[in-house]
Amino acid sequence: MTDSFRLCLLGLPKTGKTTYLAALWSCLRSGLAEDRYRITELPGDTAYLDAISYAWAAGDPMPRSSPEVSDHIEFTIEAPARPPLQVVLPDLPGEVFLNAVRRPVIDEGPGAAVLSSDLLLLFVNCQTAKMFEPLGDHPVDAVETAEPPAPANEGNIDGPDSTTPKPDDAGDGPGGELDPPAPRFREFDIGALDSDTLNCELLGRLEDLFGDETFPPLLIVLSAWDMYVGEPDLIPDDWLRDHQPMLWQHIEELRRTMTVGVVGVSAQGADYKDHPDIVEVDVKARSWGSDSDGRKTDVAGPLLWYHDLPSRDG
Amino acid sequence: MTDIDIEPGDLHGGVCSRVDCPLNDGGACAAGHEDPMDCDDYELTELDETEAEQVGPKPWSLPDGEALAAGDLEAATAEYPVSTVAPLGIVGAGKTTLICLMFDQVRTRREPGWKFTRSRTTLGFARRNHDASFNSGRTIPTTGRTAFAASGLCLHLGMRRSADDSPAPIVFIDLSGEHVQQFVSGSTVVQVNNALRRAQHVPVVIDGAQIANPRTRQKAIMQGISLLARLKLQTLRDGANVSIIMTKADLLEGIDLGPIFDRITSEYPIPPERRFVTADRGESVQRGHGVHNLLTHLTTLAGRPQPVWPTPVTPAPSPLLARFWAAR
Repeated sequence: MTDSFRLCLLGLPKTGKTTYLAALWSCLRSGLAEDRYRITELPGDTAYLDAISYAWAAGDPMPRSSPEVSDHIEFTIEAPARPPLQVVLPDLPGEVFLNAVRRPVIDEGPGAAVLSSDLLLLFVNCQTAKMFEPLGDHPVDAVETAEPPAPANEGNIDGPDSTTPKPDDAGDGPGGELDPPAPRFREFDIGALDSDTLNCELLGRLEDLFGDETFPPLLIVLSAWDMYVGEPDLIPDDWLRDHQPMLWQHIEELRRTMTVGVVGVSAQGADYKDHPDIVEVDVKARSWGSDSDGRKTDVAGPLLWYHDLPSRDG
Repeated sequence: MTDIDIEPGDLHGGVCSRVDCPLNDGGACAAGHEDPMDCDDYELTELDETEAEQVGPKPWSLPDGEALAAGDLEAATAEYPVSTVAPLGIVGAGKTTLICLMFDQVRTRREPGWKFTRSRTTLGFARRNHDASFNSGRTIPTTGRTAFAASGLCLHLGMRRSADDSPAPIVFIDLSGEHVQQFVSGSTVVQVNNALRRAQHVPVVIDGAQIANPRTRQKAIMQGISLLARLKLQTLRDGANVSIIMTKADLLEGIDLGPIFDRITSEYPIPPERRFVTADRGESVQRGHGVHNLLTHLTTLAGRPQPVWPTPVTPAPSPLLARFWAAR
């Protein structure tokens, strides 16, 4: 008997959804004996999965998800002492979810994929996640020497970009012959809001999409979890509480009526810039995860979380 | 590009704002970025309605998260009794800043006495406090004036009290300062009248910056007296609580606020437990100063039991507030 298991990867652009899928596919296909999960039936067309997994294995940038080629991915996995699980997951572009907040609409295909899911995985990138930061927290002189943060969802993981307005653009620097440059303030833009606000709003809107239907189990997946490899006592839930407090409080409220978990994954294994040698590590050992108690798992940890839900064991 | 890369102009793709960039014609990014998402000039495509209709089925609409009219919000917040709060104050007093301050303090877990649950108007808050955020690129926090068109719209803060876990949501009615001034002058302002008919709490907001300046202090006191005098003539909701809030506490260090509160409330007595001092800037006092006590008051509804707070959840009183209460 095969359980069909529909999974939907949610998340803003550049939160690691495709990288995770690539690492998961590579891990499942490597077929070593100690696997908890392995692929038993290949999908008919693996071009997309192969392309992203090859890019992942080489440490190249992930090809951008496209609704044409990545909206239906289906494969069957097997775990010891478990019935086979048929995993169905579209790899939806992050812009779909950003637009769900910004426009605010969701196309029928992605909307239906969300509604028909047995498990929702909401990806939050630990490296780029931001929370609301009020100016009133900072003494004025401290603000004047600091640079405003890059918006979480602009995909710039290296800090402020060259066009980020800087407070000293206001022209109060040393005098010169030229007129001081005009201040360049950032206009309000929903897409440039901090990830804490955007993710909380996205989740709320998806709840509304479900209406009276039962909201499926939700797993918050903290990507780039290798950032905290030196902090073995840190558990993903605590990180979310401290760094994305609005989202964390919202899921605390959801936990009153539904199952919500928080896990970490390191699909890349490490930051490519800091650890370029990571691409030489065996694909099986490169990616890893952290379960909700902080115990190390393989990259299939999120599937394990779902598989082990008490409600599934019946 | 590979065949799995999204093409420029595709449904979920984007365009480069540089007209000379080859990316727009299917070429490479002119700035040399392998992934156009890394380029500062690359923008996600905003589809217009006609284009969306041509692409396929009509997308499903979602709530927009902006400030809502009272009627629209009632249905969404019917689950628990909601405390409706209509801050009144002249232009620049800090009404909207105060509303956003309460929201931000709770959502960022800076008020451990309160647990954020959800807001139906998150983007309404975000829009209003953008210029007071680090993300705006500003150095001095500001809050734009509430436009006439937006006057009377509601902002929802869903939360629970940590002490007893009971739901204690608030709906703030954001009024334009100009509308409040017209109301004080005796004009009939529908938005203000409607707000006062609905509100269980009517905090009168006094601009602490004007109180701090000796040259504007008397004017601010007179404005407060006039506002309260007009409120006295107004029909409020049964059991409505009128309170008074002095904003910008960071500017009020060294000023004895007791006599000032007494002057403002001389003809409309407001007891000490309904007098508050708040700070939205962290200079001489901590940002969020006074918010816990204010939230405790504003979530008080007739028939709703008050929790017994198990542990002190507010920081030690600042010297400013200590002097204020010592003077009482």
